Amino acid sequence: MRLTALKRQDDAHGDDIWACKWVEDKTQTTGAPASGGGGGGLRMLTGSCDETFNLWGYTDENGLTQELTSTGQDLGVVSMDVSPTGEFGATSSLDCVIRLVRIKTKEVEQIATIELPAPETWQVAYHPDPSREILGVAAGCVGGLRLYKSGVLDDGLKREICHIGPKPTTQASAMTTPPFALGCAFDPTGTKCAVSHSDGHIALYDVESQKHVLTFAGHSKPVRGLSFTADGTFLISACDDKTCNLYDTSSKNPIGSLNGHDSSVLCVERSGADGFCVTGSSDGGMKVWDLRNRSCVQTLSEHKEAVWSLALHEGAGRLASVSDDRSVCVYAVLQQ
Amino acid sequence: MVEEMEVDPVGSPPSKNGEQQVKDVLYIPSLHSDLTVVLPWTDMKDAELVVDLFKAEEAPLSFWIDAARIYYNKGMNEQYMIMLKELTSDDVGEHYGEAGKVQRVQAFCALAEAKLEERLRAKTQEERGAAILAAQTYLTGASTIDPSNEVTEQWVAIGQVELAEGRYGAAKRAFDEAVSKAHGGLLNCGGRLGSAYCCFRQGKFTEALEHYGEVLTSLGSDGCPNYVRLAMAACYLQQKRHDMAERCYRRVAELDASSAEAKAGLGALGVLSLKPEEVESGLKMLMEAFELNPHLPFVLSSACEQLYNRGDYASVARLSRAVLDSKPLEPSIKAEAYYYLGMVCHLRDQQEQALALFRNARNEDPEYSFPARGMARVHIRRGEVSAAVEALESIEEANNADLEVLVGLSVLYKALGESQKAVQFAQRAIAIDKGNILLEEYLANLLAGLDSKKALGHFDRVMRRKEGDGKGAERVLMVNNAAVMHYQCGEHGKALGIFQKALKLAENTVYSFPIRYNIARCHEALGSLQRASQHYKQLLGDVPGYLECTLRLAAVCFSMGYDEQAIKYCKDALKKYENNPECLAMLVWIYLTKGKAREAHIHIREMDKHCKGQADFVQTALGGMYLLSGFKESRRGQKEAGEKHLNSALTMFKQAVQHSPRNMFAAHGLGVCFALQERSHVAKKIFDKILDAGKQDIKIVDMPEAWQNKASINLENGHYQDAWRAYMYCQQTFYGKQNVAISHLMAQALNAAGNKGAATKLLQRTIHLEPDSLPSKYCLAVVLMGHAHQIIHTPASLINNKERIKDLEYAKSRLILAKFHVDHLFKLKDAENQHVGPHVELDINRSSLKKLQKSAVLMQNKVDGLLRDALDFERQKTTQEENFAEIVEIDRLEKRAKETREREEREAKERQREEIARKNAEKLARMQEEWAKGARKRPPAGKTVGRGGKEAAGAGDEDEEMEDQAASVWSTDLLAATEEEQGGEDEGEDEGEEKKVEDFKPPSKRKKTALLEESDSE
Repeated sequence: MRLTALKRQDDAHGDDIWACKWVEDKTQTTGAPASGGGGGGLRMLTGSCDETFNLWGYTDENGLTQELTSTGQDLGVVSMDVSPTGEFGATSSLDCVIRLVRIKTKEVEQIATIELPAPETWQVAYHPDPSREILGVAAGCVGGLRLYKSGVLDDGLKREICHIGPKPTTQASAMTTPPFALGCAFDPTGTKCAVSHSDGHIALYDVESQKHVLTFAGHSKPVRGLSFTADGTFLISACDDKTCNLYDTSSKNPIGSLNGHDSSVLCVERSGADGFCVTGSSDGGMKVWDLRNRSCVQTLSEHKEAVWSLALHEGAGRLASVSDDRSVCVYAVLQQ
Repeated sequence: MVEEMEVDPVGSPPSKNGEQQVKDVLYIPSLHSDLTVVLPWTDMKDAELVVDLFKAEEAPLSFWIDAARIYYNKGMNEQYMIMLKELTSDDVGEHYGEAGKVQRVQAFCALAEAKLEERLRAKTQEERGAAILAAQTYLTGASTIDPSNEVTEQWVAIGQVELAEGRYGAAKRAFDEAVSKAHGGLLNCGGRLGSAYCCFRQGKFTEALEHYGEVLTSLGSDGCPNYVRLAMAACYLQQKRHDMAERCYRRVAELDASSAEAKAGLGALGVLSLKPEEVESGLKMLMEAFELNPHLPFVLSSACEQLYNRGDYASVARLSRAVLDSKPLEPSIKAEAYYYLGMVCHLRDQQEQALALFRNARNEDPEYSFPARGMARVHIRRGEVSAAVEALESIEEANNADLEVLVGLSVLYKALGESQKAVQFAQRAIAIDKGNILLEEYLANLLAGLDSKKALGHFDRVMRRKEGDGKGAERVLMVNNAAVMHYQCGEHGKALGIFQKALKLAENTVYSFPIRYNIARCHEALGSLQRASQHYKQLLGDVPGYLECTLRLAAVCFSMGYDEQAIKYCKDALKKYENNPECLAMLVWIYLTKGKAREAHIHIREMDKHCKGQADFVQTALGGMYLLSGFKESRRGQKEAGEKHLNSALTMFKQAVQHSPRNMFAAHGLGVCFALQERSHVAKKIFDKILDAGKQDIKIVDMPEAWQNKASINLENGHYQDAWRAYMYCQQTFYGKQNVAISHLMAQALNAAGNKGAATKLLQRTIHLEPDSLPSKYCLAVVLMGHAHQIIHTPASLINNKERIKDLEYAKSRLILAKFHVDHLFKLKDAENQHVGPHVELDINRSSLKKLQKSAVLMQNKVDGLLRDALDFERQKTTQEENFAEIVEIDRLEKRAKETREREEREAKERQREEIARKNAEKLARMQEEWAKGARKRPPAGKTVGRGGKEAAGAGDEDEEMEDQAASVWSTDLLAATEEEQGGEDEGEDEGEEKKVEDFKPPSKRKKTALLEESDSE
């Protein structure tokens, strides 16, 4: 796999951009995308430190066109995700509020807010099965995973499903500060959900039973990004220790490591079904990795500052990256 | 050293009595006969008598001049002056008029030159100044007699005066003028000698030799005085044409065997020779010359200088002592002897004795500058820089164009840290010696830390001039130095490029290693710590024992937060370089910074044990320990103990700095101590100096702590912008924008500067980077509250009330967020205090958080109140606006209704008028018809009346109408009546309107609706 930069939108936000997601109806995507895909009529959400999130339209010809700026947040938007149908979106911001929105044409309607009593939110991820209407949230300062109902609820219905602690295997003590939960990712089937923490440990939970399954070891610094491979067999982690580990979801130790970044790895995005992944680093560099031989196959330097988020549009074969340099870049994903 | 030469003042003007002059007899012509009285000079000692005789016989003034010349030649100075004064008196001038013009000018010039001679004998500056002034006055007198300066002596005298004032250029111009005068012959010798001397002083030895040659030719070998040959020898010596110089000296020796100067010259030449026997004979001749004329400074200075330069210090000492032990001498010679003896002592490291001798020399001859130089040398050797500066400044005061002194002062001021003064002196030195590349390079280096643009300007010049000079290693070094200069000027990016260029040139040579190290340093300075560490690692791979590189790698790792790795590198280096003080110091520093006093102490003990010669390292480390302890004690609230430790730390750091002024860690510790003692001004100066040192010397590592502390002092002193800039530099350069603590301080600076928005953004970034950082959240809460506070206390404007509401709502949201974070922190702290929660990594106590909570609540209440008021006001304003709009609408509708009514009335009246007109027309037609009938059958008058009455009675109302109309058929009042009627109606309406105004009530919806309905129906 190789990435070719197509379009770049400078000053997409007034400040650092921390999150991006394509608005894509994944239920309509059949099979793997054609090589190079097609970038016509796509849409994307970006969230920034400037306390807004933007809705963009994208075509390969015109690049990104801003459709909407949402200013409902009181502080910066840390993370966002779009439901598998592309109909709903969820944002998590530093004001410790999760906002659920309905994404319409050139409009975003807020359907619910989840206000948390403490900084108990970081990354959010929709369950891959749209019928389940579940939103997974890395539970911030309390660690572990929180699951919420993501649909439109009747009044009086409880939105929170459960909170699963960070390390259920060890005796949780009130006298120890739990690690901060940062990353959150569902496996493609939606049966498992992984949550990474500031102390480097990654917890794998079973969504059905709402129980802790496994703790992945191998990092000792904050793990900020997680991504399952397309078949759900492997989990890739992005860590401040400049490495990405590759875990078999059935064993706690890494089966491989992706070394090559010069500074902290902040985000990781799987590439689809071909065994590649892309990572973004705090020095502004991006790397494409071949997971089979754990080697870097491409290095990109489109950004000048930290790359905080990557988003793949599987259907169109387009990858987007956002950075502290306030720019958004869109690349064509070329399959080899 | 060449003595100032005397130019014969009277210059032997040729006269017709030239032959008699030689016989030294005086001729007095008789007024009334052709007889001339001849007097031997021995009989003319009474100058006044001679003057009287001249006056009585009205002798031409040329005789007076001859008499004066004889007096001068015979050393009868008093008589000479009498004669000259008489010559220049007004009586003589009046008496002789034009006839004695030339002689009087010559007399004035001679007087001026006599004054200049007096200047040479003068002891004080004032006396010298007065002599020059008097000479100038005489010259003015001469110019008054001969404004066109046609007399050669006048130019010679002008040249002498200029020479006395040290203006060689002007003096030479005057002498040249004298030479160019058409007198020729002997008369020109004075001018030529003057010109030659000026050329000599200006370093134009060839030209000087030409002039001396002219003099020699014109006077002839036998007639030429010896000093001309001696001067020529001095010129040849300067030109290193020793053979010619020797010929001159030998000729002088031939002519005058007792010439000390010739012996001295020959002796000096002998000493300069490389053959030992010639050196010996040279020395012997020098000694002989000294014996002949101990007052001849040239002899001593030549001897001592030559011996001193040859390193024969024992001989110098012997000679000097011999001079000092001999008979009473001139102070200047004694001063020289003391000086050379002092220099010998200085070189033998007998500094006290040297200093005493230099003092003696200065006491003997305060004008002699060399002892001050010697004293400066002694002070420098002793490390007494200030005293050395004082000594050199005393020389500089006397002669502000001494290159050596200026450079020395610049270097000393640099050592004292007074860079500005150092630059000033270096610039003055450059102004004197413009082509000196080394000096220019030195100035560029000096300016590097002060004014990078100027520095680069100088350096570019140096580079241009050096370009193409070197090959191979030289070229590499030159390019490397250029890069170093850019680095020192803060242009790290450019420096990196040039270092890479140097690396290409130095590929596969040993020079590549330090260049690679410099490249890594550039990356470090540019904030690319990762790249820097890679370069250091690669370099260490190639040169495993590169200690400097290892230590920098450790420092970089430490900066990036890899403390363990940093410690590992230090320990690895320690394995290779056992008990290396720098490794130990780095380890101690790392441990102290991390607050690990125990580990630090272990290494300090090791340092103390093994690094005996490195007292400053141990002192620095101990100072660090004391500082850490003092800080801890202070935090615990034990002020006394804290201060005690702080004082101990201060003492240690001071000792370390005294021991090694380049120990930046000690200097930094000193700065921290002063800052903690609230002597921030001193502390800031220290930090500034540390940072300057880092800029100016690539070998001195830029210390992030110094930047941070400088910024903190700026923050404390309210210089928020400066503080922010320093923090920013520190953050970008040393921590890759990832140091949370510095981000907090930056936010604090921004917050204090009133830039709350930027502070909030910065803290958001920090929290995003380190989500579990509680201090970040605390800072964010404080900043958010500050922002809200700022909004609350912004003066409210009634005009922009909507904006105000928006702002207050924003403030409210900020306060809610702030309170959210404070509540969270308080809960954690509370749980910690009650031992039911984990330890909280936040340096703020519970009560402070409680206060903050309270403040947030109070501010929230205030915002609520303000918001309520603003909303009430807005509501009232809206209601009022609505009411007003309604009034306007009703008014509009009423106006419209009134207009409609008026229009209808107008239309009705029009219709009525038309009806009346129609009726009148009909009536008229009828009447015309009737009249036509009547004309055919005219009735009698009575009948007519009767019939008319009958008709009237019978017709009833119709008749009345007819009558009325009959009266008005031709009347123009027809319409007026209508108007009257109309007017009546109008009045009625007006009354009605007046009534309406009286009955006006505020408009109501009902009325408006009614009006609207009315309007619609219309």
